[in-house]
Amino acid sequence: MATKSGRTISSVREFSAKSLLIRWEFLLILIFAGVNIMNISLSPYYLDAYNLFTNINGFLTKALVALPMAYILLLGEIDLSVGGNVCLSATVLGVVYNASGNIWLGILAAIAVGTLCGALNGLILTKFSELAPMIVTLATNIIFRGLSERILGDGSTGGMQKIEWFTQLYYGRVGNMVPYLFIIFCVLALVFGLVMHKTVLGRQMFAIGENSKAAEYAGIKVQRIRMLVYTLAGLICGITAVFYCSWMGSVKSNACEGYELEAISMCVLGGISTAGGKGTFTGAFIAIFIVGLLRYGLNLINLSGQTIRIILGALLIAVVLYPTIRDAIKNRKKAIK
Amino acid sequence: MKKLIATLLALVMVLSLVACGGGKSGEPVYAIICKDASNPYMSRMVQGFKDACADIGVTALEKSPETTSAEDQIAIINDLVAQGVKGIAIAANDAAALKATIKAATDRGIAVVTLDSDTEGSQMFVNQAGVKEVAQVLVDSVYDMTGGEGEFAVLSASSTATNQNAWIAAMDTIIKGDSKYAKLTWVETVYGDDESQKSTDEMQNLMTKYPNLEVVCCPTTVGVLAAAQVVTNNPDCGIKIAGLGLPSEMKDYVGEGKACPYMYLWNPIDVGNCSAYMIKAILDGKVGEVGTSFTADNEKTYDISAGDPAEKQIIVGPPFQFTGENIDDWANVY
Amino acid sequence: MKNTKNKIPGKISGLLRSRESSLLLVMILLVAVIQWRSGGMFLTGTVITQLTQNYAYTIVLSFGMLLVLLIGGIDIAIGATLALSGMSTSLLMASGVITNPFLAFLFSILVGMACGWIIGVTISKGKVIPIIATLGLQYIFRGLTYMVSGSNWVSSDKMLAGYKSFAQGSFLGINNLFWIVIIMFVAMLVFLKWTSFGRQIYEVGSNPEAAKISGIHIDRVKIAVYTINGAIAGLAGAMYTSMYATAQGNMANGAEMDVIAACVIGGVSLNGGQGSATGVFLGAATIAIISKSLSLVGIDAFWQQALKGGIIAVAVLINVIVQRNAARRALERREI
Repeated sequence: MATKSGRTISSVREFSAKSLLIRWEFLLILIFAGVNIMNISLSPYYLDAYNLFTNINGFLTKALVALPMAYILLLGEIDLSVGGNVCLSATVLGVVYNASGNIWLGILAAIAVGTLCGALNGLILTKFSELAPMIVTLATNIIFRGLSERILGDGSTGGMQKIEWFTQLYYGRVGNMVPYLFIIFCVLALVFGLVMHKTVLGRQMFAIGENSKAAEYAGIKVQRIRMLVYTLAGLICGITAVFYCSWMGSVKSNACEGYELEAISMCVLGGISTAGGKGTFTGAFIAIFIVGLLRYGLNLINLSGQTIRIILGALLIAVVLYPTIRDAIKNRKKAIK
Repeated sequence: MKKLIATLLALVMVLSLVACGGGKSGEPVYAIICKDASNPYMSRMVQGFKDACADIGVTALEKSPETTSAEDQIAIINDLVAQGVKGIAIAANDAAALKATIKAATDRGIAVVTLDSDTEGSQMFVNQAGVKEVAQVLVDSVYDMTGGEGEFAVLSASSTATNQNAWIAAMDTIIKGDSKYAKLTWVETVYGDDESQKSTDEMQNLMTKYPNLEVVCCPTTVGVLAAAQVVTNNPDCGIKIAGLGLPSEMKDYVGEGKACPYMYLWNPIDVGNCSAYMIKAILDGKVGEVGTSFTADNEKTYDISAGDPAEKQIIVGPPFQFTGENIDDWANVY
Repeated sequence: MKNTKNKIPGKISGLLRSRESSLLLVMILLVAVIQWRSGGMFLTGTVITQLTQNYAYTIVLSFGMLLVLLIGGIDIAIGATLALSGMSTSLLMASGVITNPFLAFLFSILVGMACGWIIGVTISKGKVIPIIATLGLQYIFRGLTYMVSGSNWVSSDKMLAGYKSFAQGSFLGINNLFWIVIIMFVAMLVFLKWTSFGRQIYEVGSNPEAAKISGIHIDRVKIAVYTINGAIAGLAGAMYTSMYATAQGNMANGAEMDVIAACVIGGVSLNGGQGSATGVFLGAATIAIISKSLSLVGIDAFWQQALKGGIIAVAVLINVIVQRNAARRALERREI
């Protein structure tokens, strides 16, 4: 799917690929400003910095998963197993901590399990490279969540919040204002962005997403990079699980349901095409905050959860429709002239 | 580009209009947070809550999360704190995870009560009916429908449903603790995940696996509905359904000679109603220690008992029995 | 290419190597294991009837998904489409607007068609990638379902008696809902093999550029396929609500994933252009058998989910290995 549709789409829009990207980010910044203006005008409560950070923290766990998802989408692939992976890693953290009484052991186990799960995806997908990532990760998602259900049964695991510093991972703030998680997220995003745009690895990922066959003939070790990216996604899932535990202090087997679709829509809104080979990390970064803050604003004016879903769905489609509509209008103007 | 800016501005204007239509400014606000948006049982509670708020003279705010997760509820509590509401009633999606967020709210002087499902940190749990009482009526229906002897099974919601798990655990304690129930055989507990297809499957499989099954007890509306429908469509199986269900959804199945001779539930409207008055009582400082009682503004007296995990709890009422005679009347109410 | 080889009549060896027969083999093995582990409880008239009745709507959905996957698309909004059409039909029945079961089915199909048409237009005319278009529209359709129902359900007593009894009734000993499956299956076989439009679907999926050059209106085919898929989801919505005699806002939540898994197990390629109605039927039946039998076999409730995921993964892997071997053997033969 990836290479084929990637090729057709890029051939349609090749003429303005670069200018499109620049404009895309401009569009995002515009939307971002619009969301903020809307929020400020709608609610006098919005500009309270402390509350704002409380709320930003609320969507940053999901946003962490969106970072490696950007890479996976860039390769023209998809990972539907991140929700299950975070859930299983968090479960392991809780269980190991409760069994050993050592939170460090729990953290290590969670990160190890997350990475292993990611590596498992990578292993299956590279050994059987003709398999569609969607179906494999769909199955592993069910397996990961199923294992968590097997471990926890009808109960939950918790008690990590007894350890003060562990709770502070999520709740702690620099200067009683900027949350640690926010800083960690920004640093991670910067690293991810730099790797994507400034390194050989990043350029190779673009090449694979554009046309994996051609990339392979050009000497890029496609399977090794795929393996790396899926394992990296697993690692980030493990880290997310640590923050999730610090935040919630309790894990059930339905934790983190829907993270995968949320992360995908954040990336797509940011202009990273699921067809692969296109997009910028800055776009994804802005889009994460657009989705999060828009949701916050809509919550502040007390729309129901389902209405918010409708608006977010409409926004997603409107944004991805935008280039087509713009081109159509342009062509019509040309025709009239 | 101009068009885009114009569209954005138009969007802002439309949304500000929506916002202005929202609440009357000045009046204090009580908010109720649902488990999710898809549940008629929950919407009855909201209805009761709104009625009470109108009587008290405060603005009622209904909030429903996008999914049935604790995360979304945390986000909503944070929003409500930012808005400066006076009180929050919440049907918690997790028994522990909301603790820190609720504490942040109560620290700011906001009254937080739980209804339907309790969680740590809540100041008061408005308990629809004590866990033991619910379990007792369920066990007694099983005892009665089997004639005191025979096989029965439990068809629950999802394995993570806290209320159902508590009731099932209490049923187990009751059955093991009394020799009266010694001849009841609890063959299996299965989970229908509150989905019609899975619940139907599980119900049919129970019938296949245990030919001598006499009663299936379903402490959840989707489950009891699916089970009753399966039995109605297989009238020869001789199985009876016991459980908890909304009368409006179960109207076709409850009655003598039908799949479900009788079932139980409390009045969700009353539960919602009561929780609004509890917020008022907490804000007025009327609520005393555990063991004392007080009269709320609805002129009803409530006994405060020790809650678990909430500090205090009050119990709204015993579970109410629905039979063939009263189901039609109640079906119009909730 | 493989397809043409399998079409040569009388070649039993070719038949044995075909994807469908390997899947059939897996299925028979699965059933044998279940039959053995469940102590002979599985292969009885009652259980088979329950299975065909309870999973009819999922199998029907799979046929729609087959068409979408064949053109290289995907639709993760079918669960929401099903819910919206089933809910609006039930609401109209409850308010007394629809008084005829047949009209109820028709209306549900029409609502589904409208949803599918919107998806098709967004994807083809709007050039939006299918998974994103359906992800966004899924939110919208599901949200609308809650909106029109006001978060309430439609209960059994408000539905038409004829509507409810249709799902429970049978003809020639086969449940009515499964008759829909059979009719759909035959229609799909005929449609995909012997109509020019069916051929066009394969062509668009396997090589869109060539299809365009050969004069196929790709956009038109895409819109038609998504509209048909929507209609099928609408039909499934009516089947669902008539079967369970209740309409709930969150019904069939996540059904799309089971359906996609069914198609892939049935040998449909997510890249488009490859797949058959027979394969999908077998794949959907396999998923149905797994879902139905896990608790029947007596597997612990908490193991079921992990095991289901595992079986899906293994089934997909077996498929790939069989394919690889077949390809290798074909190559070896050519060398000789």
